[in-house]
Amino acid sequence: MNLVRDDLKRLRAPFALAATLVVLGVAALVVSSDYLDAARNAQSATRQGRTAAQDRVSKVSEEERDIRDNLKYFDQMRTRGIIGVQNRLDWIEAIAKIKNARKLFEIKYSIEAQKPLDYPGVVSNPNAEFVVSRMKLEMMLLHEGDLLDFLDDLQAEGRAHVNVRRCTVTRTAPATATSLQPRLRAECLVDLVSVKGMKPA
Amino acid sequence: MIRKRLCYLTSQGVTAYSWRRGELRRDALFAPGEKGVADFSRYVAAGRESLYYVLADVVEEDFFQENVPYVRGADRRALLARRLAQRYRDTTLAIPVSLGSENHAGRREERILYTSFTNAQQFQPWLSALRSHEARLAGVFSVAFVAASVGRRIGFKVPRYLMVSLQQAGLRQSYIENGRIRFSRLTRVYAPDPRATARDCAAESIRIQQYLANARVLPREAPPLDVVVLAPSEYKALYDAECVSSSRLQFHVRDLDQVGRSLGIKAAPAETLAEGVFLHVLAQSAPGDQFADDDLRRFYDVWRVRMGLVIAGAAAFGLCLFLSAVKLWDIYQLGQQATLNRQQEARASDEYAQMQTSFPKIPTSAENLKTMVKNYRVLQRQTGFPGDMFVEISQAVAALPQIEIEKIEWDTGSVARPGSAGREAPKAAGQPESAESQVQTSEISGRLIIPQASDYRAITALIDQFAEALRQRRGMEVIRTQLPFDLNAEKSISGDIGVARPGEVPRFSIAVSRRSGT
Repeated sequence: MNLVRDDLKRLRAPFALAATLVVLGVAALVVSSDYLDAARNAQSATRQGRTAAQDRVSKVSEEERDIRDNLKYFDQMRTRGIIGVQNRLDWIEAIAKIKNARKLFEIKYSIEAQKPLDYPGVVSNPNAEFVVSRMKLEMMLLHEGDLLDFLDDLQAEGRAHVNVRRCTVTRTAPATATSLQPRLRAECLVDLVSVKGMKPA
Repeated sequence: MIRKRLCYLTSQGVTAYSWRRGELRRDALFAPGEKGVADFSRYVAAGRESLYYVLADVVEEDFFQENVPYVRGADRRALLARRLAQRYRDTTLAIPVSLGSENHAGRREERILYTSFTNAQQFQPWLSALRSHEARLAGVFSVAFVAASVGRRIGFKVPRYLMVSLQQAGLRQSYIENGRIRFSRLTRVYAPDPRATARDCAAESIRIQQYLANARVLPREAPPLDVVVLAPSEYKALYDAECVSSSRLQFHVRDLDQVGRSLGIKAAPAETLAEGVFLHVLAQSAPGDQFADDDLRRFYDVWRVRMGLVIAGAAAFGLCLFLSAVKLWDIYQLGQQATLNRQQEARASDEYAQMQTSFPKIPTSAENLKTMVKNYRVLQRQTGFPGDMFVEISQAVAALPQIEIEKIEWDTGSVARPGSAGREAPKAAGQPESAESQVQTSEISGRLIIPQASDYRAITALIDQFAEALRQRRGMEVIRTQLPFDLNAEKSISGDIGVARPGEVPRFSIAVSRRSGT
């Protein structure tokens, strides 16, 4: 078969037609492939949604039990005054109230600015953020029981979750002293934790 | 469908036929000479889109067989072209046909059949007309080669046979060996007398058998040569009577119309003889061996490339459409599944919502509540209180009045590693550890109320007692002790025994730890 240049001109039209058909075919293939991918994704998403919904139904009793368990903890949190906006005036009044009730010696405190709680394992949650206010405490004690009673009372006041991070108790007077005067000095670092911004159901 | 035009070329001119799906129709008869060629030219001009097949049925046709060295490629082409040029003055319509190879005297040789229309001049006006109108000429074919195809198609399978047929051009005898043409000859007959023609058919068959035997084309001790006679239907009885088998020939008279019908001819002009069968077989499946060169077939080749391109494009398009259709079917099925999934999800969600009505009321979303509680439990695990440890230390020191504690540094969040006594610096406060490693540590500092500060043994025994008392407490671990002096053998120690030192109070420190929850 010998084709000359003039023959190539005769082949232009069929070549263009063949090329057009190939392009149209490939385009159809590409478009259908895209639609197929989208259909696969949609089917996969609906399957996951169906599975999740069916899982929810199958685990509904477990979920109910979890909710009941969680509610117990939630009630505990509410009892301890963890839920809600920190009210520093309440804290100050609580400290004063405890001091008077326990007839304690001098108490000095300083509360730092509130910040998000960064303990390991605590998950950030904008719908219920755990925040901490760190309090430095200085107390003059008759004995170490004063400190422990104070910390117990502070927790019992239910204004925040009290977490003692560090305490140093130093003797300031001999153990044999008989007069009613401070014998110990305590310096403590206490975290007052609460939850703010809880989004209602 | 492409229309096929068949040009039956004889010494009396060209008879043009149209063929379509087994129907053969005679278009025109063009006599030799300028007028006939001019008419033929107009005929071609009017049907340039058709495919043209020229079937030559002329006396001037030569067959010659010889063996050549077995070579391939360009060498073979050059060798065969040289042999053709040596044998024929005009090689315009000459071709070599391979009949296979054989070993001769230990050398491999190829059997070549040279064949040519020796009077190419009678073809030229007709071929020029086709060429000038750019007609798609598929080829110039010989009735001899088509006869071999007809033999195969009618199922005649003996190794050697003679096919005798009567056409408008005359009586043709074609000798076919192993399905391939070896020799063919056209004899003029007096057509109006069918009995004479039948007699000629038998006589010519005997003559050609003698010729083939003398030329040693037929083996010396060969059995009787089979002769297939394509007899006109209305005269078959005459042919049966005249063609009597003998020791040299075995006649097989076939009804031409029946043969045509068996080959698929649906209609043919009444005056057509055996050429109708050959033309039909040529139109259906042309033999590979033909005589036209590339220049004559140029527009046919261009047409083939054009068709090839269009068919290839259409095939690719069809394949893509098919694959797309498969994908569309998959999409449809996936859509059905997705719809079913959505329905099942909706049912499950309704069922879940129904069940949720029995849940206790919660102040926030279930997920939020879960996260809150999880964080709260983490917080609880990391919550420390010094009371327990203070009580433990107090109980340990109660039995040792010589020890007076001066300071307790309680800390939570430090790591205690057993066996690393006195070497670990506690972590800074405010850096709590994970729940698993949460420990409380206390650094206890104090002094010893003993009469003689230089009684190292008594001091050591007292502090060991205190350390042991601490170890006895549940979960308590002594991680470091610091004596008032250093008994390490690698360091120096000094003292003044017997010298009283009132007011000197030995001091010590002990670090203890306890893991959360113990």
